[in-house]
Parts: sequence; C-alpha cells; structure tokens
Amino acid sequence: MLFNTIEFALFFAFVWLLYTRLPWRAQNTFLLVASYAFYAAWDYRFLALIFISTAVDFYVGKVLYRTTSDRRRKHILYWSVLFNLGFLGFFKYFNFFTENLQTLLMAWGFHPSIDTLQIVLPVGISFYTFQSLSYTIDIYRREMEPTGSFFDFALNVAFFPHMVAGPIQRAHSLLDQITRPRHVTADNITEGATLILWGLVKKMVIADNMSLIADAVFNQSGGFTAGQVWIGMLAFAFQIYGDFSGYTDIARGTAKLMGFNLMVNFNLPYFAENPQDFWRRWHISLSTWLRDYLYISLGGSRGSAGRTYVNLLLTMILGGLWHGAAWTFVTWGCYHGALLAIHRFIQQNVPRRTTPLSPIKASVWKWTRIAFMFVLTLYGWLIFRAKNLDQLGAMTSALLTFHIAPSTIWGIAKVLAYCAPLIVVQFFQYKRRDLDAIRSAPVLVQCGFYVLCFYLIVLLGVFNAQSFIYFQF
Amino acid sequence: MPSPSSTSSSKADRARRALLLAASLIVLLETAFAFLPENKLVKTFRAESMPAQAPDWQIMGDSVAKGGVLPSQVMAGLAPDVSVHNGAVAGTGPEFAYFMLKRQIALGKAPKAIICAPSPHTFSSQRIALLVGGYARWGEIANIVGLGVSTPEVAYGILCKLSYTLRYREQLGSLLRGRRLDAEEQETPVGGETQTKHFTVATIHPMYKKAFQVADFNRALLEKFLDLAGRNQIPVYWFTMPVMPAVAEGRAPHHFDADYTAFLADIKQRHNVQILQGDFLVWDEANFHDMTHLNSTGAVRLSKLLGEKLAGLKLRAPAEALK
Repeated sequence: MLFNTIEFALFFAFVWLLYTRLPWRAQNTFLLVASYAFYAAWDYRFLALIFISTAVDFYVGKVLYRTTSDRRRKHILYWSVLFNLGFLGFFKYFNFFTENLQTLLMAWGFHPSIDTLQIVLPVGISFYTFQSLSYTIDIYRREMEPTGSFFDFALNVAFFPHMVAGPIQRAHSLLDQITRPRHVTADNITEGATLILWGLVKKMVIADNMSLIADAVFNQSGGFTAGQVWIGMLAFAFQIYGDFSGYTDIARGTAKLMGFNLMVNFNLPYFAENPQDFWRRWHISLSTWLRDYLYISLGGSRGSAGRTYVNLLLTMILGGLWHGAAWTFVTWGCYHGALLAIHRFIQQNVPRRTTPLSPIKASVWKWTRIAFMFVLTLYGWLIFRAKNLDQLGAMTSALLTFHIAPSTIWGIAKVLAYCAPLIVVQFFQYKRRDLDAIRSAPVLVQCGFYVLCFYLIVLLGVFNAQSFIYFQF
Repeated sequence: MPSPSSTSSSKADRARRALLLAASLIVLLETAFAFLPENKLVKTFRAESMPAQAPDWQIMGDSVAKGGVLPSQVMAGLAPDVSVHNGAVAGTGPEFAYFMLKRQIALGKAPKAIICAPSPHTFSSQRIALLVGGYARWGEIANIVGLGVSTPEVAYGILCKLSYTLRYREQLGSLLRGRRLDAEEQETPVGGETQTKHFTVATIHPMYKKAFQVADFNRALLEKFLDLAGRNQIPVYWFTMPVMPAVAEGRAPHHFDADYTAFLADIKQRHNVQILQGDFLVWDEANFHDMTHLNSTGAVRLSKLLGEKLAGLKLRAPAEALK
C-alpha cells in the first residue's frame, strides 16, 4: 500500500476517523493493529519477523536495564546486535556475500559450489532494524529507561507512517509520544495536510516524471555521451530527492494528523556547501544514527587524525552498504567517506582567511561552494544509480569526453522545467532560512500555492503509483 | 513585539485560512469547469452523438474497431437502405458495451443488430475508473459497485466524475507537455500512414505475449450486455479483428487462440451469439498503422470483408431475429 494511492487514502481516512474518536490507550492498540495491517498489505509473511524482532528487543531492553555487571551488559548487547544484524544480514546480504565469496575463491583456483537462495527482502527491514537497535543501545548507554508496555514498544517499531522508509526515529523520541496522550489540534491538521500535499507534489510530479528521464539514460546498454550522462545524473538527483523527501513529508504529515511529531529528515540538501554540510541535510535520521551509534562507537574523532579518517571512511562504507547489497553502494559510501575525509583534512590544515570578504564576494564564494558541492553530489548519484561498476566506468568515461550536444541543453531544460516548482520553493525556504516558510507567507500567496500544488498533481502527476526508491532498502 | 506563541498561532491561523480558501477555490473552479463541453469520446459513449435514427447495424468495440471499420465501405456492399453506424469507443473494453446499449434502448435508438468486435486484449483490463468517472451516471455507479469491483478504483472514478480536470487529466496534461490530444487522435479513424517499423516477437508490447484472460468484472458486464441484447431481441454477431504476424506469433506459446475460441464457443452456446469471424485473420504489416490498429489500406480491406459477410445475412426485424 503506497502513500500515493487511493488505497492508502481510504485506509488512512478510516484509521484517522476511528483514531480521533478513541481514548488514548485504545488509540495505541488500534494504531498497532492498523500498522500491522498496513505492513501485511505488503507481505503478511514478514509480520512474524517484525514481531520476533520486537519481542527480543523488548525483552533485551528489560534485562539490560536490570543488569548491573558491565561485562554482562556488554554481552547482552552484543547478542542483541548480532541477532538484529543477523536477520538483516541474512535477508539483505546473504546472496551478495556468497556470490562474492565464490568469485574470490574461483580467482584463487578453487571451484566451490555454493548455492545462493531465493530470498525475498522484507520491506523496510533496514529501517525497523535500526529503529529497534537504537532502543537497546540507548538503554545500554543508560540514556533511557525501558518501556513497561510491550504494545507501546511494538507500536514504536511498527508505527505505519515511518515503518517502511523512516525517518529512523530514536526510540526515546517516539516512545515518549506514544506513552503520553496526544492532541489532534487544528494546527496539527493544517500542518499535516500541507506536508502531505507538498510530499505528493515531490513524489508524483517531480520524482516520478524524473524517473522516466533517468531510467531512459540508465537503461541504455552502452554508447553514452557526456550530455546524456549529465541529463541522467541531474534527473536522478531530483528523482531520489523528490521520492525520498516526498515520502518523508507524507509520513510526517500523516503522523502529524494523529498528533505525532516525526523528525525532519531533509533540510535543503542541495544547498549544502561542503560534504559535512550535505550529511547534516540529507537523510538526517540515518546520518545521525550512523554518527551516534557507529562513528562514535568506532572512536569518532577522539583518536589520531589518521584514525578519524579511517572511522569516517568505515562509517560511510557501512552506510553505503546499508542501502543495498551491491558494489555500487559500497563505492558510493567510499566516495562520500573520501569526500568527508578530504573536507576534514582541508578544514584542519588549510589556514582560514582572517579578513572578512565583502558581501558580494562572500555571496559569490558561497554560491560557488554550493554549485561545486552539487556537482560532487551529482557524481555520487551516478555511482548510486549505476547498474554495476562496468556501467559506472562507461558513464564516467563518457563524462570525461566533455562532449555536449545541443540536445543536452534541451534535456537539461526539460529536467529543470519539471523541477521548477521544487527549485522555486526551496530557494524561498533557503532565503528565509525556514523549512516552514510557505506557511509563514501571506494567506493569498499560500492559497495560490496550495491550488497550484493540487493542479500540478492532477495534471502532471504520474498516477500509476510508482513505488518509493527507499522501500527497497 | 509579538510573543513566539502569538506569532505561531497567527501563522497557524493564516495557514488554516489559506487551506480553506484554496479548497473553496478548487471547488469553485471545478464547478465552473463542469460547464465545459465533454469531448467526443465521452459523448459517443453517453449516446449523445448518435445518428438521428436508430441504425440497422451497429459496430461495438474499441479503437481497433473504431479505426478499422469504415461504415461507408461496409454499406457499399449492402442494400441502399441499410445503415451502418460505427459506435466503437476508443480506449474502452467490452464492459462499456452494456451501458451504451442500455442508453440507446432508453433513447429509442437501439440498433437492429450489433456487430461485436472488441480487441481480446482489452478483456483483462478493468477500466473501472474510466467507466465510473467518464461515462457512468450516478445511478449506474451502484450497479458497478454491486459487481464486486475494487473500492479504491470506484472511489477514484467518483473523484473523476466530480472533477473535470481529473476526468480529462491525461488530455490536459498532454496539452501542458506540448503534445497533441491523445483522445482526439483516437477519435478519428486511425488510417493513413502505414507503419514503417518492422515488428518481431521481441519488439511487440508485452501485452501481446500473454495468455487470453477475462477479468471477472468484464465478464459480468459482457454477460449483462448479451442478456440485455437478448431481452430486446437484438441479434449480436461476433467479429474477430485481424492481427499482424508478430502478435499472432507472440501469443502462440500461451495458447491464446485456443482459449479465445473456447470463450467464444461458450458465449455462443449460452447467448445465441452468431460468429461472423471467429478465428484471427493474420494480415501482414502493410495493413497496420501500429501493432494493432489498421491503416487506411487495412481498414478498407476489413470493411469490404465485413460488408461481404453482412450481405450474406438477411437483416430481419428484431422479433424475427431470435426465432
């Protein structure tokens, strides 16, 4: 059941109408049932997986909290992490590792016969596993207390607006909202409705139209030109942003309509001035998760400079692998790890200018940095979207020929024309330094914007419900 | 200086007023758009653009029949006082025929006989949203819901019925994208250019490489259509449209033709349907405009063939037809 379908609209309308009429405790139980029904609409077989994972982490949380011995607590945590990552590893990476192991052994002259399995990837497994892990790790770190109610914890894991593609909500943040009565106010409703409306524009108008252009480029078997690669990269950059941030907006909007606050997951990422800034703006819930639970656990920047660079690289490689079992994702993680490391090196070793620039020069310098970072991000998306490393090599070679045909300009103009609403709104948000800038605008401007959004969806939206890219992760 | 809470409440208040205003404006615009004319396609189906008098023969089907049967060519082989009307509606399946005939009967414009020539590939797709949103009357929607169709599709159809822009979103979207209107293109006979691309099994659309399937909803409405024709003593003749070699070859491994023949035998037995052309004629690509639609050469050829078959039949008064 995709967010951009009539099925979901009917499902949510039913859930919302009933939810708003129930007392708080009954709301939680009802939401849990609705969340499991939502997930069962994808594949009911994997409900058992979520339930087992939830039960184990709930129990581990309790035991961890009661246990005083540090050594024993560490053991319990290791087993819990191993259990969660075991599930994730089996469903997501088993075939990837066996295939690569086989290739490696064959390169060494062995001829093993290792069978791969027909494994169906459970939707949202990476998201709910990380969500669940944050609960046990936070209890281990004594940053939160376990919840006494299994149903509350189960709802924290399975809450349907964010279950399949995030935001990866920290346990304490969502549990805190689950364990207290919530209020559906008029403000919640307007904010939720506007988030959903804008999310649908991003998904149906921007992302799904851009996917047609990007797919046409990336589905080519070869013979790429530099112009085609530029168009493909640009279209995919807007596709993935529109798709994922659109999903997040709809998720946040639906949660808001029920009185919940989910975290902001995107903060104008294409206005980033450097790699560090980009990761503070892109998929914030994952990047902060990786920072808090992986980078810091590896030692963060507490060790030598060399160790810090290694930690950055490792964190980003694992972040890349989190997206999927493919070498392109590993390479993408490696690329972003390298960018972060280089940026950190420049920050720490190149002396900063002591005299301030004039406002015009400062502005030119800032926009140059934004443009440069955007180009670096585009190349990152090329790595991410390429079907395999061979295609990545062919497209990179084409890019280096710098052959731009007149049709390239037309292609880029087409991409920008479709994305114009997004670009204009984001400039407005950036200039105002406010993601909620639209709702601060005068009534008539807002009204015009909402009417425009409605007609953009109706007239230019893709209606044959395309799945969200991040559902596969 | 306003306090943060008052700023936030005035912001929330502005947003609320803006949303309400936007919703009202959309309702107002859509109400105004409701007075815009419907396109020819919808008018044809709603039986609003029927000939002044009830036709003798009426062709029913989709775009393949719409562009492939030329009434003037068919009539050339018939007696001078026999009229032929092409009532096929592009982009529809067999499920539409029931509602169309029902309206014609109500208007007193029921044909004396019907030639049913739907493309068998449309039998598996349920065009419920189109049917509800574009064509069905409010009272007819209840009939459709009663046939056990998916609620979301009916809900979407109802939204289409309420909103002109949603109903014509594809055509209006095409205009915005700088393309020609698809529906208007389909409305005119396809004829004209011979397709220049050579089709093979590898290059035809995947829908032509599947088994013959009839969706439950389509089957239910086809049954209702044949019952209605039977009750009103309107004989139905079935005519299977020709296909190109690549299409015939593409579906051969899926026993498409055999299943289609069995399906025809079943309805012939139960509804007294006469089969004018039961097998698929395989015509070469020179007769086609694209993978399925005939060009002008093919349309003339088919219309003459149909004319010859009809000339052999004596068109009887409706009461006599079922004797």
